[in-house]
Amino acid sequence: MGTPAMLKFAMVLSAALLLAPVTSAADLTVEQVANLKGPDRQKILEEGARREGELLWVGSFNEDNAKPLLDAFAKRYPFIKVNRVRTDSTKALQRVLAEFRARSNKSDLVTSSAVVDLKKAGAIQSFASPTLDAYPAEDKDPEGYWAPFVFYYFGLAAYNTDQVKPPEAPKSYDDLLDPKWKGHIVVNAGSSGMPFFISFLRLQWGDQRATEWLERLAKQKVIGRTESSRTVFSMMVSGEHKLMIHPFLTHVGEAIKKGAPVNVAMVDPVPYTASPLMLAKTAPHPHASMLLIDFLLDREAQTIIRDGGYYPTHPDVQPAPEMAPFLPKTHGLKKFLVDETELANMQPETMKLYQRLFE
Amino acid sequence: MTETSFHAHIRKPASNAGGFFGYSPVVIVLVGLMLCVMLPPIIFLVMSSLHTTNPDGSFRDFTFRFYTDLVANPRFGRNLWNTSIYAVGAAIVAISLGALQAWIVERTDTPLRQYVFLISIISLGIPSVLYTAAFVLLLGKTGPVNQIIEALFGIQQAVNVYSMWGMIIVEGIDFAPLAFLLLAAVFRSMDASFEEAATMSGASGWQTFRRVTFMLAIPGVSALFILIFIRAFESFETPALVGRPAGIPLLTTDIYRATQVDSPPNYGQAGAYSVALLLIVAVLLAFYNRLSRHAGRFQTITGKGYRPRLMHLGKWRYLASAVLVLLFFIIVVAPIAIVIWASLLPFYQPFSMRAFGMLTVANFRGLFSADLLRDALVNTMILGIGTATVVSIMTALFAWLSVRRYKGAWMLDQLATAPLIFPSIVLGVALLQIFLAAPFAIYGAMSSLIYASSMRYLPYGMRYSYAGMLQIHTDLEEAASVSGAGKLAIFRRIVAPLLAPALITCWLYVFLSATKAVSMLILLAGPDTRVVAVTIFDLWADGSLPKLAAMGVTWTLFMACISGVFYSVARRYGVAAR
Repeated sequence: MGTPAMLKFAMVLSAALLLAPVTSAADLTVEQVANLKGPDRQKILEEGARREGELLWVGSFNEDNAKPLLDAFAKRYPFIKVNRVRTDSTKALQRVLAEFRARSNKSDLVTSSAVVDLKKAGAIQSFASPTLDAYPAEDKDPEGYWAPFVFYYFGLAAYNTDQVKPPEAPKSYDDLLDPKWKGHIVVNAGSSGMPFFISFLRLQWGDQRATEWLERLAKQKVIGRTESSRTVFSMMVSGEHKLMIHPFLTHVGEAIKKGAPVNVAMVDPVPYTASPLMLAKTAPHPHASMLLIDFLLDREAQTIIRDGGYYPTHPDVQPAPEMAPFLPKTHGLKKFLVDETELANMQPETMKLYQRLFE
Repeated sequence: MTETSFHAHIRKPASNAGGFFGYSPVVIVLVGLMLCVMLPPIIFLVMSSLHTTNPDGSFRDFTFRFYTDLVANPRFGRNLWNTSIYAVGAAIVAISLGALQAWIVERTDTPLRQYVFLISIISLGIPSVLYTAAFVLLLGKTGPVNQIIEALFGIQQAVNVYSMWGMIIVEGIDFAPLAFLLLAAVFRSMDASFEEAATMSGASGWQTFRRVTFMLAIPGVSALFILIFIRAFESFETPALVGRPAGIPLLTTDIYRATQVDSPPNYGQAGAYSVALLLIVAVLLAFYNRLSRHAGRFQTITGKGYRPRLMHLGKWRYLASAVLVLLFFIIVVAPIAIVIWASLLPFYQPFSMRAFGMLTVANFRGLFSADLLRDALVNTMILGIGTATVVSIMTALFAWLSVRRYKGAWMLDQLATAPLIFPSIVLGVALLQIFLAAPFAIYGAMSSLIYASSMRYLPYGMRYSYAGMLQIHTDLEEAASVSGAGKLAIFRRIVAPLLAPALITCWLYVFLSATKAVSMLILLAGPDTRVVAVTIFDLWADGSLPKLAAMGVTWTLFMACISGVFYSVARRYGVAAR
C-alpha cells in the first residue's frame, strides 16, 4: 500500500470510527467493518450482525469438526445463522472468483488454501481481529489478508510397521534413496502432497540440491495417488505401500490412537502450513463474519478444534496428548512455515519438476 | 428381404410435415430451445480455450497456446494411444458383460433372470467414488482377491490392479449396468421371428445369437459403444485412481493436473482438450448417424404382435443361471461386501484376525444428523426426480423426431449428445458463470441444479430413447395418421406407450445417476440446496474411508429400497423380465 492509499485508508477509518456511534452501521463498508478498532467494536459488530442475521461460509472444513464449533458460536450469538457451502480449496476459489466477476457476492467467510490467487484477484479483504494479538508474528500474515485457523505439520515419511521394522525405517532424506524402497514409496499427487514437498525442498536447500535429490528419488519409482492425503495415508496403513512421503502428522496421530500399525520419521526442520480464514472483499454480511472470525480464533473455538484432533493455532491452547508426540517441539526440532505466497511464486517451476520426474 | 424392399414402405414424414421450408414447427422450437441451453456453455468452452486469464479468472489475451501445448506435448502420441486402448477396452468389457446379461435375461428361460434388472439398478445406486474405490481395495496388493490367490496357489500379488488391465476392468464394470439396461431394451423388443427362422433353418444357438440376434442389436450396440468410448475417453476418475499409481499417463492426466493440482486452475488447457474432444465426438456421431440411417433394417416392433418368445436353453439354463450369479457377485456383492467391511473398521485394513477383533459400528453413529435428513434428502429426491423427468420427456421427443427423420431433427440428437464431451468440472465452471450472469436469481437454486444435471444426463437418456425408438416401425403411426390423428396425438397415444419400457429405464438410470453425481454440484449447490452427494464428497475429500463407507452403505441401502419400489412399478409396465 503506497503512502497516499495509506493516508486515505487512515482517513476513512478514523471517519468511520468517529461516525460509527452516530450513523447506522449499515453505512460502513466491508473494509471499514473488517478493520474496526476501539471499545465500540464489539457493540457495532453485534448491532450490524443482528441486522444481517446470517452469513455464508464457503470452503473446506469437514462437517464433523465444524458442527461443534458452530453450535458453540450459536450459543454466543443466537441471532446469527451460519450457512455453509462445503467445497474443497479449488472449488471455493472458483466460486468466490465467479461471484466476484459477476459482482454478485454471496460468500462471506472463505476457507481455502488459494490465498494468493484470491488476493491477486482482489477478491479478499484484509481484516484486523483483536484475538490475533495473542498470536506470534511468525504465524500470521503481516498484511492481514488471512488468519491461521488450524496448523498442519508434515513428517518426512510415515511407514507401515507390519512391513517395516523400526531399525530399518528411514531416518533421513538420504535413507529414502535406499534401493530397497524401490516401488514401495507412495505420495499424495495432489497439491498438498508432492508439489508442496518439492517447493519445501527448494526453499530449504535451494534449487540445485533439491533437484539433484529429487532426481535420485524419482529413480525409486515413487507411486503418486490422487485420493485425498488421508486416503493415501490409509492405503499405506492397510499395507498397499510400505512408506508414504510427506504425511500430515495429524493423520499419523489419529491412526496411532486407533491402534493402526504405523509410525513416522520427522527431520529438522519440520514443514508446516496454516489453514487460512479469509473475508470476501464484498461480503454481504461483514459484521456477522467478523464475529465468526473473532470466535474461530479465540481460546474456546481453538480448544474445540484441538479436541477434534487438529493442531490449534492459538498459542495458549496445547495440542491433545495423543498429538504431542508428533509436534516438532517435543523432539526439539525447528518448524518451518511454508508460506502460501512463496508456494504460489514457486509453483510454475515446481510443477515443471513434478511433471518431469513424477508424472 | 432386401434393404430396398424395407425402405420402400417407410414414408418420410418430413415430406408432409408442413411448417417453414419443410421444417416442422416442433423441430424448430426444440432446436431453438436446445441452442439456448447448449450454446452458452459451448461458447464459454471455446472462449476459455482461446484466452489466457486475469487473476480474477476473466479472459485476457487471445491465444492458440493451449492447442499447441496439447499437441506439442512430447507425450501426446503415447497418451493418445494409451487413452484409446483404455476407452476401447472399457467399452468392450462393459458391452460384453451387459450384452451377456441382457440376452440371458430377455431371450432365454434361465431361472433367476427376473432379478437382474433389480440388481443392476441397485448397483447404480452405489456412490461412484465408493464403487471405484471398492474395486481398488478388492484387487489391491493386500485385497481379498490377492489374499485368496496366495492362499490357494501360493502366488504373491498375482493381480495388479494398477495396470492397463485394471483400468479397463474397473471402468468396464462401472458401465456394465448401463450396458445391460440399454441392451435389455434392445433385446426385449426384437422380432423373434428372425431367430425362429434361423433356428428352423438349422442354425445352432450360438450361430443364431451371432448372426441374427447380435446383428439386429448392432445399432443399439454401436450407439452404446460410442457412448462408453467417449465417456471413458474423457473420464478422470479411473485414470486418476488407478492409472496414476500405475504410472500410465492418459490424455486426461494433464487435464487433471490443470484443473485439480494447478492453482489457479488452468481452464484454457482443459478447454482446448474439450474442444478437441468435441471434434472427435462429432466425427463419431456422424459415423453413427450414417449407421442408423439404415435403421429400417432394424425395426422390429411392427403392427403385428411383437413380443418375442423365449429361447429354451434346456439343461444349459443352469449354466446361464450360474453366469448370472457370478456376475451378480462381481458387480454387486463383492464391492458392497468390501465397503461394508471398511465401514466396520476404525481404520481400513485387509482381512486378518487382528482386524476382526477391531470391528465396530462407531462409524455409523451420527452419520445422519436431523438437518441432513430433512434438507439434503428432500433436495436429493427433488433433484433426481426433476432431472429424470426432464431428460425422459425431452429425449423421447428428440428420439421420435430424429428417428423419423423430420427435417433438421438430426440436430436435436447432436445437441443432446454434445454435453458428453464436457468434463463435468469444465461444464460446472461454465454453468456457474452463466447462472451468475443470468438476469434472474437462479444461482444456487434447485432449478439450476436440475438444469445442470439434465444437461449432463441428456446424452445417456438420448441413447435409451433412441435405441427404443429405432425399433418401432412406422406402420402403427401411419395407421393412426391415416385414421386422422394429429402429430401430438400420435406421439402421446402411439409412440409414448410403445416407448414406455425404454423411457422408464431411462428415467430410472437418470434418477439414480443424478442423485449421486458430485463434482458439478459442489460448484453449483447453494446453502439451501445441499444434496446427499455433496456430503459423500465431503467424506471422500476428508479421506476418512471407514466413515465414507458407512455413509455409502446406508445410502446404497436407502437407494436399494427406492429402486425396489420402482422395480415393482416397472414390472407392471413390462420393463423388467416377467
